[in-house]
Amino acid sequence: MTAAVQFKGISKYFGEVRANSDISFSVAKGSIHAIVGENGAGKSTAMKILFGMYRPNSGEILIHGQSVDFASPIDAMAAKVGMVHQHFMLAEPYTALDNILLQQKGSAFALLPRKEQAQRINDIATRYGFHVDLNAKVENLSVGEQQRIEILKILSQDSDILILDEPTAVLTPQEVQDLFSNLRKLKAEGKTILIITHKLKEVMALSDAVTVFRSGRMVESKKTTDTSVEDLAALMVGRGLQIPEERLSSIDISKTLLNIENLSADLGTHKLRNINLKIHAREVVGVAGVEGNGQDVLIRCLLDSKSLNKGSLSGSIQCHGSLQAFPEDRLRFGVLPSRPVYENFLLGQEHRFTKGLFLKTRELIARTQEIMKAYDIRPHNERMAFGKLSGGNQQKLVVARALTQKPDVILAAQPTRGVDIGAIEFIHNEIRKSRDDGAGVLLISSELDELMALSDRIVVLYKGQIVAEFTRSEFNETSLGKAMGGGH
Amino acid sequence: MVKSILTTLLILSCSTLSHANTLKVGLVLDKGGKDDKSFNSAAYLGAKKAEQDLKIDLKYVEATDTNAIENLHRAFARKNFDLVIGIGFAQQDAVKKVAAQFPKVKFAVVDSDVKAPNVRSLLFEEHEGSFLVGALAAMASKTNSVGFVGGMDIPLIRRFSMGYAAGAKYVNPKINFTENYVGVTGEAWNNPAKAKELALAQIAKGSDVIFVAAGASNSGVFDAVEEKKKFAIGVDSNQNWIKPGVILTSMMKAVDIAVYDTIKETQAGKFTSGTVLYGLKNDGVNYTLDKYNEKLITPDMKKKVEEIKKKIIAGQIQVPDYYKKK
Amino acid sequence: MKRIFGFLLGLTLALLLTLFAGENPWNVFTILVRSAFGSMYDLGLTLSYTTPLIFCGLSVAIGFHAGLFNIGAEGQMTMAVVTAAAVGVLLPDVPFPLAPVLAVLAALIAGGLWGWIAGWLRAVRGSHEVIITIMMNFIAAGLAGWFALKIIPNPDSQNPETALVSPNYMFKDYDLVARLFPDTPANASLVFAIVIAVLMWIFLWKTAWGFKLRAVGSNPEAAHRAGISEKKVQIAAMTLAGALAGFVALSEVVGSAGQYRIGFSPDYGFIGIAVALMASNNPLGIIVSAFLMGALHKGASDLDLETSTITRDFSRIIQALVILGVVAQGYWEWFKQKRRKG
Repeated sequence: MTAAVQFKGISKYFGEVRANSDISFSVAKGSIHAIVGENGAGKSTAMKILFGMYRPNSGEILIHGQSVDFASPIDAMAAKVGMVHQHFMLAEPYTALDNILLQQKGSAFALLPRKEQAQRINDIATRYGFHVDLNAKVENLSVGEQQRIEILKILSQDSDILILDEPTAVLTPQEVQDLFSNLRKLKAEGKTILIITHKLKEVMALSDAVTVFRSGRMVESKKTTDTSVEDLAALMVGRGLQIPEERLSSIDISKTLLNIENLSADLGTHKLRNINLKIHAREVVGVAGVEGNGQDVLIRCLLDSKSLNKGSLSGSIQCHGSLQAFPEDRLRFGVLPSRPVYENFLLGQEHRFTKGLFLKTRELIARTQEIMKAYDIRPHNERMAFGKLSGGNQQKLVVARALTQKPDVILAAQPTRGVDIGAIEFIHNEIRKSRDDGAGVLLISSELDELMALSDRIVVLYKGQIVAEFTRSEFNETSLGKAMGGGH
Repeated sequence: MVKSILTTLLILSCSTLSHANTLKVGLVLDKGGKDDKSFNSAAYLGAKKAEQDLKIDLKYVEATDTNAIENLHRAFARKNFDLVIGIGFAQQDAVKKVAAQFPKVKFAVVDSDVKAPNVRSLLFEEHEGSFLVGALAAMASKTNSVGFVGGMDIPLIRRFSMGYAAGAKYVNPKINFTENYVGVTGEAWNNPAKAKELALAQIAKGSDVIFVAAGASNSGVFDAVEEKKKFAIGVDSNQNWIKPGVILTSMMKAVDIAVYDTIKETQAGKFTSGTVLYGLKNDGVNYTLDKYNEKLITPDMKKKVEEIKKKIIAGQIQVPDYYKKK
Repeated sequence: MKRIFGFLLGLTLALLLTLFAGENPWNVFTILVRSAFGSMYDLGLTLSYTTPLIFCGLSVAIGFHAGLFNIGAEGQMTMAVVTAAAVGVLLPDVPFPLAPVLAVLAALIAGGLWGWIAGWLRAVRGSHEVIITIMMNFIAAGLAGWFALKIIPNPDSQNPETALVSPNYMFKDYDLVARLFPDTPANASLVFAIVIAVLMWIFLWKTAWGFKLRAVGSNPEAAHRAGISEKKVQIAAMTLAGALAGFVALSEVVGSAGQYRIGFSPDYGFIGIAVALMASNNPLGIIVSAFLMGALHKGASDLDLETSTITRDFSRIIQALVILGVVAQGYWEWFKQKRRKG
């Protein structure tokens, strides 16, 4: 039996960054195949190549034994390959049906009258259990429902290979269970499903086979029954899991650095309600929660409360000392991607490198070189456009820029998103160093591992409220997961 | 390809040789350009006729912007043209300046008064001709009101308007008169849409004969009267042919004759500097009558207007002149 | 000056097009070159077009550096020129060295104000600067026309222009550049233009303010998070852009004409966009690209005179093709970059 999908020696470079090198593995027809790996391991890149969004620099892809070369997702869809992206591609002011029909343009079904189309899609939804109110506007639907629309978009085109990129990241535990049972139904109908994830328990629960990525390479591809969570984790990280840290210094309760009292804020879609939070010197407080439960509001209140309407904000935030942040979306909020590295290092600390009217360019460049060496930011070229650095190197510079200013309070939002393994550990250690030097850290992350590795305390945000708080001795994945889903 | 290029070069070089001794005439048209069917067209046709009849070497250019006029005059002078003719009031300063620097080159300028030993100023008595078409307008009007649409609001165009209004009042002292101008900048000569709007507004207020002196903007007024079945009066050239049946007559300025005559006299070695006046007396301005409007001008109207013309020439009627108003 | 390729491409295309008009492209090219640089007189005219193009190019470029598209250089320049003329006409007794300084200062304030309004509306009201600056161009043209024709018209001419400023306001005999190029409007403001371009380069690349301005242009959200007020920067950038365009008053009123003439500009403000694009918004490159565009403008306007079939309309086609060439190359580079990013 030929494989549904086969990768043969696929490599992909972005400038000097090697996103995929020599990837080879195959996916059996009618199976659920998990692709696992840490952030930045190259899973998404490989899937985007399969979906025609990128063209590989070398290697080939076979679908049902046929070599294919997709120039764009349109070609991929014609070959019955569909993909649900981590960030949904939906037109929010339109109805679910509109969004699904939009995808059909040019396909054989496009000629059917709208009523019959709706009937056909309803049939598909019923058959696989993806119920959605087709006449509801997307903006009024929950994230889980939006995901179903995305899946229906693919199913309505009769695709038989489905790629799902991190489908569970935004779902509550109950929604995850529903999704999994529906995916099993699809498998029973003969569809082939590739699912990107880094949650190993889901892999064990759902998949037939699993392929592990690490640093752009395929390190293992085997049947799920032949492996275990520990086994996969070791393969992903490339070495044994980190030993829980021994705390060298202890929290200084006498010194409150950040004091949030009765904070409520309303940003329209996202809200915060009655938040009380204290951060002391030498303390790391983690904020856990599924994305979209108020984290973004909290960040804006801390960094940019002036931009909020007066009426929508109440309560108080007291910050004793200087504050520095790693932005949750560094390319958007943190850097000037088209400008050279040294100008990015300068951003936000212009006063340190100014004499009279003029910039002390020589000093700035020397300092940038020093920092790039200390943080091992590669390539060692301070004049390179920042956007051409890899994610890990980008984030190291952002972290370096914030920490070298010796802030009293550090707001670390998603500090290791899209960062390779080596850099993650480096960044974690830098955060620890700053903490030991007396800083207080507010860590907002969607990675439970990260939260548990760094935090002294973890609060859980759910629908804008703190619904649970755990100390270091109390928290574990189960308790946190339960609180994140709203149950506690 | 190469062959055709070579042939072109050959012809070019031959033509320069054969014309070595002919009179070289440069014509600098105003922004309106040679296809305005009015003022600049008249000058262009006069020069073209001279080119055919008199075998002169003619080169014409159209000004692109205000800065360019002086450069164009100077360019002709530097190339040793014998005669450079500037068309329009806007060229006064340029001709004054360049003529002083090139005393051997002869200049002529229409609608501008430049006093220099090598410049001939060709001036027209626009108010006289306008008086005649004003009289005709009053005779043709059934609504007892006539209108005037000017191009750019400058004394020259006010002169048309004043003569026209006086002519209409001479025939019918109680007639209503309205006047509007397309604009205050050079763009006014090239804005038929605005001219049409003005004409439609005047028609709405009751005017049924509209005299338009707005260069290439004239066509807008012609469109308006055609739509509303009223009359227009053209200007500078004989414009009766443009929309036969709705153009009552045209206030012709013999710019073509002035240009032609200047070229002819220069060729014959009889160029004189100073001002040459073109009025009713020497047919420099006139109303026009041809096959396109013969049905619109009744014999009675013709008789009356010819009488008025005679009286003006004889000095029995004093036509008010905007230039002398102050 | 990578964009020079686009300039050459557009020029080549345009020259090939002259084949259809029955001209020899090489011949047309030599006419272009000769009438742009052929004599001190021709060069002087080319330089007199270059100067306002440098100022307008800088005006557009500083907008681009702050992430704003300033289509309003034309209006900012118009306001400045009419203001300088008004000062010169209404205050005739100011003594010489002070008079031109006063006129230019007034012009910079007027141009700057015109830019500031657009910047303020953009920053505070969130209106799009392209729409505002286009509208402000119309308002400027109307205001300047009204002022020139109703308040201080030239009593000696029927041309739409203001009266002449008092002689105290003009460089005249002090102007060494003008002496080099007799009979042309070229004047010492060219030297000022080059100095201003160099100063702007220093400002953009060597000062913290310049860095903040570029940071806002590169990523306004990141600049905001870094404590830079993007609103203040946007307002400042548009004000500077207006003042830079306002410097045209120096070359037009103080340097050459001594008055505001309606229609004096062959769209300097708009050609300035092509000048800035061609130089990738580098102030020093703008000196070169303004010179090239100035030469093209002068050369093309002479084609009408020098050839038998190319009219003024055709010379506009040539300029348009060159601008298209420059813009197309800019687009191509942007497209390639986007492609690479995926």
